[in-house]
Amino acid sequence: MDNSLREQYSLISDTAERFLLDNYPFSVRQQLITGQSGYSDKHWQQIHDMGWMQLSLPVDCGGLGCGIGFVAQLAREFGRHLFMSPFFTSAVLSAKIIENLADDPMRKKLLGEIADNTSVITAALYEKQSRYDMHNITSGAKQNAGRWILNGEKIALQYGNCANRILVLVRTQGEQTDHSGLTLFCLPSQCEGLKLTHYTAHDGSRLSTLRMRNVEVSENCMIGKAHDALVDGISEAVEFSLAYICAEMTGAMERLMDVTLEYAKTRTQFGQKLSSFQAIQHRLVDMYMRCELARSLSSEAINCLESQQGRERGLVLAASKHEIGRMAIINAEEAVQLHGAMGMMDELPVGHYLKRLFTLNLLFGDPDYHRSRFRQLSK
Amino acid sequence: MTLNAPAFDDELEKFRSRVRQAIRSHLPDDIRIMVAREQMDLPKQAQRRWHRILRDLGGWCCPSWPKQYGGPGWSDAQQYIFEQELALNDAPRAMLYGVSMLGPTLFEYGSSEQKQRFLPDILNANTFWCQGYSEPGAGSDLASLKCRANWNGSHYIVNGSKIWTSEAHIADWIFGLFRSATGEKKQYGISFLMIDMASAGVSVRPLAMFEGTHEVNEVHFDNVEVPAENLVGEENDGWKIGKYLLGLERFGTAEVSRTKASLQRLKKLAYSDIPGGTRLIDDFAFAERLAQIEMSLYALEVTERKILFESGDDHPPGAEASLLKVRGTEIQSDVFRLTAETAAHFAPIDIGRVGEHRLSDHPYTPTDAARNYFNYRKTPIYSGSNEIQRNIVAKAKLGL
Repeated sequence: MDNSLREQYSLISDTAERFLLDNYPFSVRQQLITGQSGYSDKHWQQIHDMGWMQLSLPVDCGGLGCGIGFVAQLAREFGRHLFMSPFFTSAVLSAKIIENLADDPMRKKLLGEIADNTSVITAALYEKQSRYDMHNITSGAKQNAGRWILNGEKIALQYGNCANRILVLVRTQGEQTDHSGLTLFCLPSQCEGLKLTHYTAHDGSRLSTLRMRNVEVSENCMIGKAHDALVDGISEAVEFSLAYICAEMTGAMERLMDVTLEYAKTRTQFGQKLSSFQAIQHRLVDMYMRCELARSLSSEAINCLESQQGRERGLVLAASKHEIGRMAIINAEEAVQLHGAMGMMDELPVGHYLKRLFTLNLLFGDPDYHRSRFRQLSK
Repeated sequence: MTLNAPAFDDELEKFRSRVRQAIRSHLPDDIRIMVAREQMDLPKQAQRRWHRILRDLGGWCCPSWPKQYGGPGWSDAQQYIFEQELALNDAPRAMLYGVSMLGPTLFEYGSSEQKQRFLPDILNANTFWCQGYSEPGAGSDLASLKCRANWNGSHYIVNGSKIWTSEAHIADWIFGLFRSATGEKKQYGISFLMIDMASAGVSVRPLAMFEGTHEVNEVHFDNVEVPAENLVGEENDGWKIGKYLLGLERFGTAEVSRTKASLQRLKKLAYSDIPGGTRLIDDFAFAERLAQIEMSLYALEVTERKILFESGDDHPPGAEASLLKVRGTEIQSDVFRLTAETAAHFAPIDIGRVGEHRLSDHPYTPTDAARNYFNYRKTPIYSGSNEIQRNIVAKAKLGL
């Protein structure tokens, strides 16, 4: 990384850190995640005004055209401060899918809406039976007199509670587990035949399920061409998402390390600081080493998006998500354990990091999934 | 098929069939469901109801109690089998504080007045107990406790706090260790007292856990008067009683049979058909992890058997119990972690906030599993953290 890029990265992360320290202390977060939407409209507007949503969007859509490396700086700070919002699902995942698939007018329209904060867009990719295999899709769309009729159920829409548009991946051709034959539609979240059910996750994030019963839309709602959405663009958007999530997990691991080290240096038992016991020191060292590995992997996950393609990129991302996720959970459990019973308390952030990392670890595939993906790709 | 430790002799296996049958036919459905959802601390009414059902079967509510106090007078092996059958049939654990801890402590150290006064109410679930051990500054380092009990000529006057007190919010009485004197050794000057929670000056502050449940509390004592007859054993000599009692607690914390039951539930999920999808058990990575856990649990079970029944010793073992606790809670964590992950995209959902979906039994629908995984992070911490257990083994077994 050259020095000027490094400086620009620090500028982003310093600004984000400042903003989160000033506006998103743990106590505020805890109130917001139990509230109506799970985040604050004021914060959402503020991060828009600071240009974060525009950061990685193309310049011709009102964006700033910065690479994933810049967004990853935000992700890391979000991880450190347990910041919860639809940022990822709208400005990263959905934006990337639209950028990859939509034709020019649609791309400008939808990304323009994200850029000027008139839309929050989420994505409905997975289905109940698919687990982490996105191509296992039964929801379908049939053409009828120039219109499309959509039916089926989707799950795991992030922040479906506040999205006004939903990208829906459905099967228009082929068998249930074919990689091709999938088509993407963009639906308004309020339309006839469409029912959303909202859930709150343990980390305060929001998830929705979506049921479509004869949802009828015009040809214009199709994003990109029919039948090849996954191969043409969604897979790549998921790769970006994996790098983003790796950065967020890394940020959370870093903060957990700091918090736990601080506690061990403060808490006294048997007339000594916990940190003076060699058994405890070694465990803190192990936590630290995992953090270091996560940091390097997280950087590589970002670099590979710019420097590598195909199988090689897939391997880097599978390895990163697997290793970071696995290590993040170990560290979070260790952080709770080293806090003793205090670690179980709601008033301390430590358990909330475990809950957040639990969610992130499963997002777009748990370690088992990525290990088996790595095994297949490395054949 | 499930790998189990070898069967006991015929007579004991007959005993097993008998208690299994009785548990299955008497366990109320609503209680069974709570236990099957891995709820460890049940509501007071549910605890009381089940306790009295067992009492009426012949004192089974107090499995470790001799007949003279209303217990079943079972041998160690019978108690072990009974606990196994409770666990494997989704029945609650025996009540911990009154039944499994205070009762046996009073048999050993209590005066005859104390036995007469307190044991019948425990047997009949008229009084609920909690345990006042840890303090804000004395957790792993228990002997450094500071909560004062000063003799004023007519009463002990108790001042200070106890923390992580499970069930203090439903308990009628608390027993625990209090500082009545300071000496050169911090283990000296500790007294074992029983205190009526309704006494003036006792207050209970609930402590919320990060996964959203309330099990533990801080109990505060502000000039609480405790009569002399509530002292167990000798004044200032309570440390040995406390240690005896902790030995009883550590004896049961391996939870091998509970974990076996949890593993059975996980296997049931794993073999469920997913319409249009792949069964979990057909996922190579999952199946490997499951097999690993089963083998670890088998190793623990045969070790537990060996320790309990082949040591030739009449009394519950000391350092061996630490080994069981450490491995037991580690394997339990593995089961709960794996179970939590099985619901994939639905795993992070907090089912506590979506009441109407509670009964939808995963796969793959919202489930209690993640909450249970978070909640069971307490097990390597409670009852003497696993770090303390390792210290015990280091000292007692390795002479370090």
